[in-house]
Amino acid sequence: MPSKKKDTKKEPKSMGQRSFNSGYSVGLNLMSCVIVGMAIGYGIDVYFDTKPAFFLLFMFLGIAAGFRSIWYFMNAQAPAKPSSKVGEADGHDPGEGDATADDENQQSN
Amino acid sequence: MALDPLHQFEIRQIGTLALGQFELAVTNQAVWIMSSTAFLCALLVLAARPKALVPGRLQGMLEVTYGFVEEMVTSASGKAGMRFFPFVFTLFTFIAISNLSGMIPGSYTTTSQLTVTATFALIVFGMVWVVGFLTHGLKFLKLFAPSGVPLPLLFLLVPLEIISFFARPLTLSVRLMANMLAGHILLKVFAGFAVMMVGAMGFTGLATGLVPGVFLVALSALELFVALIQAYIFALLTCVYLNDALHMHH
Repeated sequence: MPSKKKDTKKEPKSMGQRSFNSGYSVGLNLMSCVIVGMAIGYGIDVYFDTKPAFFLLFMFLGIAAGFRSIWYFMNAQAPAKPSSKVGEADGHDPGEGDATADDENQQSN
Repeated sequence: MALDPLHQFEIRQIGTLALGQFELAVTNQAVWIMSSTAFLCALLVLAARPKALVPGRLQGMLEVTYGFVEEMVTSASGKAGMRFFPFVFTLFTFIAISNLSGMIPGSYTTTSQLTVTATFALIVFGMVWVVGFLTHGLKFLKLFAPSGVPLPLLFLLVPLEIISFFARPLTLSVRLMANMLAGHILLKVFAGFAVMMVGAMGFTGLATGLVPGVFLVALSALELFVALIQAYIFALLTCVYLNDALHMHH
């Protein structure tokens, strides 16, 4: 019964909205990783006066970081869903269902 | 100009505030931020004042919000995260009020400016650093070095970790800003359709203008929902980041 109550409470976050948010955050993650990588590279370049070298290096590192976060996100999505549904039927449901939180949690490991 | 969907985001100077030899420009953005802060403070003080055992409407609303944020904090960052409850509660309520005040027709949406959301995100980001170094000392830097990875791979992985860590404030601020900006542009565009149809087709335009009008009503409802959900996501991600700083699980 308690779990039922929690489900109704979480209802506003519908499936469509949730997948929209997670898809949105994946794209945002990729974009901002590339931008931050380029910014770091540009900063190093200006400081050491090595114009294109570090900019390019960190741009590729940024792209790699972005794709890595997508990879983590997919790993957090696919296998975790069914098992965690069974395992955590009572207990700490609220934080678990949220895709964005899962993604960010996973990313930090 | 009235139909320009970007006109609503323009920052205008309303007056000047003379402080000694400094002259501060008072913009519509500053006015809206200050008035939503004042409104939030007044609302919270009024809601918390009765301290009734059986809460009235206002107090009930406050208690529900409190419980909601409390559950969010404890589920995302555990019992230790409750130290940051005041911060998260302030962040959540302030962003929610700012987003919602943007829904008043003719108002200015403060959270649609990157400067505002980036300030929030940088506060959160700085707080993560401070909390991390206070609780773990220099060991906090191990956050960037995943354990159990061979040394050569670390040269590749550490820059990646640093980049994705520094991408966090950017994602956090852009997410909120882009959602509010896009939503309000969409509202304005649909409102513009309705007005233009009436203007162009006269009497028949009244009938066809109803179509974007109906969409406008639906979009307004969606926008109200997005305003709250974005405040929730911002506060939740704050909790998640603070959780990383509190318990470094490796």
